[in-house]
Amino acid sequence: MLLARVVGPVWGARHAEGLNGRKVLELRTPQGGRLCAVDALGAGPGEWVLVAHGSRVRDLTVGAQVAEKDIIIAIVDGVDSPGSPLELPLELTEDDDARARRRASR
Amino acid sequence: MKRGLVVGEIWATRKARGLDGRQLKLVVEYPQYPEQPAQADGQADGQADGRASPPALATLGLAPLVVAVDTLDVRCGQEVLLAYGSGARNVLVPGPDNRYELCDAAVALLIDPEPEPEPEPEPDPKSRPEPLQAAAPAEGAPRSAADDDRAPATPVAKRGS
Amino acid sequence: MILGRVVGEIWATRKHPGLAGAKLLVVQPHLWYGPPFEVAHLVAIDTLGAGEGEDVIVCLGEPARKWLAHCQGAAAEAPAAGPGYAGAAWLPVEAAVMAIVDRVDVGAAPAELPGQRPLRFIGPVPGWAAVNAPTSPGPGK
Repeated sequence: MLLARVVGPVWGARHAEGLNGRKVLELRTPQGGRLCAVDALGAGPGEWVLVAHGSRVRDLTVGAQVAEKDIIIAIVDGVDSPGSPLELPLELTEDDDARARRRASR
Repeated sequence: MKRGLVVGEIWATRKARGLDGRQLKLVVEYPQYPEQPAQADGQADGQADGRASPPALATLGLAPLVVAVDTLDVRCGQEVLLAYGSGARNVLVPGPDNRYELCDAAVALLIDPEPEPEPEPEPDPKSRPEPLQAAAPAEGAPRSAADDDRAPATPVAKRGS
Repeated sequence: MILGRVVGEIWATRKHPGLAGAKLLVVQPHLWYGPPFEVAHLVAIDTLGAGEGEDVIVCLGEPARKWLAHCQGAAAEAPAAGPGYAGAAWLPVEAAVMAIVDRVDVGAAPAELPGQRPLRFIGPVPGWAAVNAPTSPGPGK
């Protein structure tokens, strides 16, 4: 799975039957990679999401009729990396209190 | 699923039987975003209304070319979304029974072109105050700077015509 | 399979129900046979309790799902999916941690073996790669 950021939706009136009623979002990875994925969770522009690739993932999440193998499977709330900082914007990381609370609730 | 630009069409009379009646289009995949990292202030990389902006045409020189099966009758110069693998087979025959479709890349969606910006309304000549020293220029008189400020005699050509 | 280092963990509340209870790790790959494009991080499900800073092996695709199904054992029940899913995992994931690396030996200098290509690392070369190959100028960039 990849971490990617939603750039915006892709609108197309003419599309294959497999994309009927499906929302397609354009994503961007932190290194600049560009891909489009089908969204079933309602992610908005600027949000970080997890994208999985594969026909099995597609069959299990949105059904076997969808003409797409990249699916958004989660919307990321935060990333915890205390030791080695990731090259992600700071707004995405959680502070120590929230991290401790999450660990306690597991 | 990649976004791309249709740059051509392919004709072939001698081809595999599974490709009979299929249109084949030549599509350039859009390359990666430029090197600067994603903005940290929460703004999306796209335009103001949240749509993704297409890349500059100069960057398409080294982008990968894909031959894709076309079922939507797209034209050259249109932006499309390409589906690969089983997603492409789902474009031709949706469902899990398309294992023997002869296709590994297909045009899945034709991206709506961005709406053109509305042309500015013509200035109403009656609402503009007449300058004191202005007088109707005689036929054939050379145009002066004062004439340029007036509303043009003929309507401005609309954008795109 | 991908050799990488765990650099973080991901929290997400809005996600597919199949991911409930799964620990998601951010892995920075050192070696990847064919990334789709320039990728600095990938996300994998943790099955072995890998901590941050540890080198792990990540596998993509069906083997990852089979391993996850094996880890979850009989506790997970397959939903009424179509035929062909019997025995396979039903989790909508494609990457899982398969092993935690104890030691990596980058052996002989790549230039000495005929037909050998030097290792090409994604991102900075990890510490163990330079130490274990003293005779070579350094595997990869």
